[in-house]
Amino acid sequence: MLLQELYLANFRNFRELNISFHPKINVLMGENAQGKTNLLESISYLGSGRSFRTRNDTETIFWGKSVCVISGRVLRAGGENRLKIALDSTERVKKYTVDRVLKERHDYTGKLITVLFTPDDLQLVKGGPQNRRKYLDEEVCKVSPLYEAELTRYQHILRQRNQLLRIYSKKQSSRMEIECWDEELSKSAAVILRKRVAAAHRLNLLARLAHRRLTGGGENLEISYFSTVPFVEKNDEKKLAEVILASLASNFAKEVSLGVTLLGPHRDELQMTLNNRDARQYASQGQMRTLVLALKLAELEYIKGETGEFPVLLYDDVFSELDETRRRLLLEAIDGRVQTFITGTEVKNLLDLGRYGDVFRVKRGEVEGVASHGANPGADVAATAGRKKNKRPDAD
Amino acid sequence: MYPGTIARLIEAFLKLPGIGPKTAARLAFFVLKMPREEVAGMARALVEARDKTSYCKLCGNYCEGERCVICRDVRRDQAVVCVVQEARDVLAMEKTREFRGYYHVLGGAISPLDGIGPEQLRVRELLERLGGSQVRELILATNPNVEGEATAHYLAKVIKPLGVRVTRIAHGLPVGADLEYADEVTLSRALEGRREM
Repeated sequence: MLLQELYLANFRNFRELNISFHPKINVLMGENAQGKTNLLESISYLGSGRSFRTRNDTETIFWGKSVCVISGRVLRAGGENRLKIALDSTERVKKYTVDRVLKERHDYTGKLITVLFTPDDLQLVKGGPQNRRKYLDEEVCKVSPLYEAELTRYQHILRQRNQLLRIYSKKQSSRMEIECWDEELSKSAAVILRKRVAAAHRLNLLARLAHRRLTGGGENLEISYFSTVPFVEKNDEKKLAEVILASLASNFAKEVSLGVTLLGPHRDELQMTLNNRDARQYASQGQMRTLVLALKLAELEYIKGETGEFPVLLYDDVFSELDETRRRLLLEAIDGRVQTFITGTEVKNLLDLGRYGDVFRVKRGEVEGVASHGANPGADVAATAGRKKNKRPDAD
Repeated sequence: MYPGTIARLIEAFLKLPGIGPKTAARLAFFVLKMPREEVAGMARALVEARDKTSYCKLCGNYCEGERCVICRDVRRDQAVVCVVQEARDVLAMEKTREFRGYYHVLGGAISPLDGIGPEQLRVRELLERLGGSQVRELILATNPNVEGEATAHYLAKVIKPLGVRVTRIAHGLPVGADLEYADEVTLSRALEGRREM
């Protein structure tokens, strides 16, 4: 899929912006705090309906304004779509439209799928298990929008059940009261587990392949899903739910004494090993970087496999951290198949990249085209610069 | 902005659910144009409804006096009781004209985070009512959300040992809807509750 045009109004430090992008590589150059990451954020937001930096939507609105709009023209195998998200902080509403038709969130997402790569992604390897669970959940959400609803439901049941476990020792709840949440909890957990295990399996195969290419076959990466649920048949949701229900019952005394639910997807771990050693503990900084890169490349292929199309790659400030070989391998991997947005401050490396696409300069909430190459028909430097001033594509 | 009496009226309307500032102002100005006796009638209706309605001692539905109209109706089937969360759910069920048994209103659903357990609901009343009665079937019609399901599971656990048949209303596809527009969750529930033809 391709993001052909982006229109922003009152988003972060952009008052009004209208740009067309190159189908291959788009380099966003600029000093710090000029709006490069804001631009990536807006693209990710347009696809997922959510910011990757904040849970508080009003933060994304231009200081002193109450309404913000993100809209874009997306080209997919199925045709062209005009996506738009309008945020109104006074009315507290967020409206999603596809081709001017109002949509529910789960109907809206999936039209523009993005994969984000930022310096923070090292936490995927370094950080706690919740980072890796979140990574896995996000991947599944991207390809199956209703998974998110199931996750929310699961968390909700879990909070209710944990509350009862907490007050059990004070004799304010009974075992029967706790058990009446178990059935729904296990059903929901089974749905989540099945999807996660399937995704982890796919990602393992793809990441191993990518990792072997990146390391020249020198290291062996293995990603495995470890569940707190002792399951055998992971494809049968009904059986899985039965196993979870039984395990909840046998763990009751322990759960009551600790006051939390100890079993289920919220306690599972996605373990990553390099040559059979836990990457979280033993991998060096450089090995972690390579591992994350392999995970990201696996993400691209995973989404391609599930939806039939490559997502859009958003690359925040990490290109400069890669050495020559990895840079080359990354470029080979995306090689004209994946539309990529790269931000950075370093002029030389980025301008080199510009040979494959367009280069933009981001300065104080303004974006200006500085160089354009290749496959974009009729897009020379002047035209790129001129496109910025086009009229709004979406005036409603 | 408005004289005191109008401002007070607008504020009164604002207390109603679903009414925002604009609608409240519109309603207030409409009232000013209504004939005096109609306004007085409306005010009386409000106060009277508030004063005279109470909860049925047996089922928890709204009523005037001790028992509600449904519990007073002897032609109904005494063997079946339908459990609902709110009194307004009784109205919804009655609209179907299909159900001829009696009701029991719980007054909510179990939600530990809100401090609502079985003791906060009319569960004890239900158990008392079932003890030694002719009720053979209890239909659980709590909402199909997380709390409603938990409440249904709880009631099933408590009541089944009494020898009463406990059933749960089916959930699935809305009648008249297209299969392709149903969401995954609803569809999988509908599949779960499939029946022989």
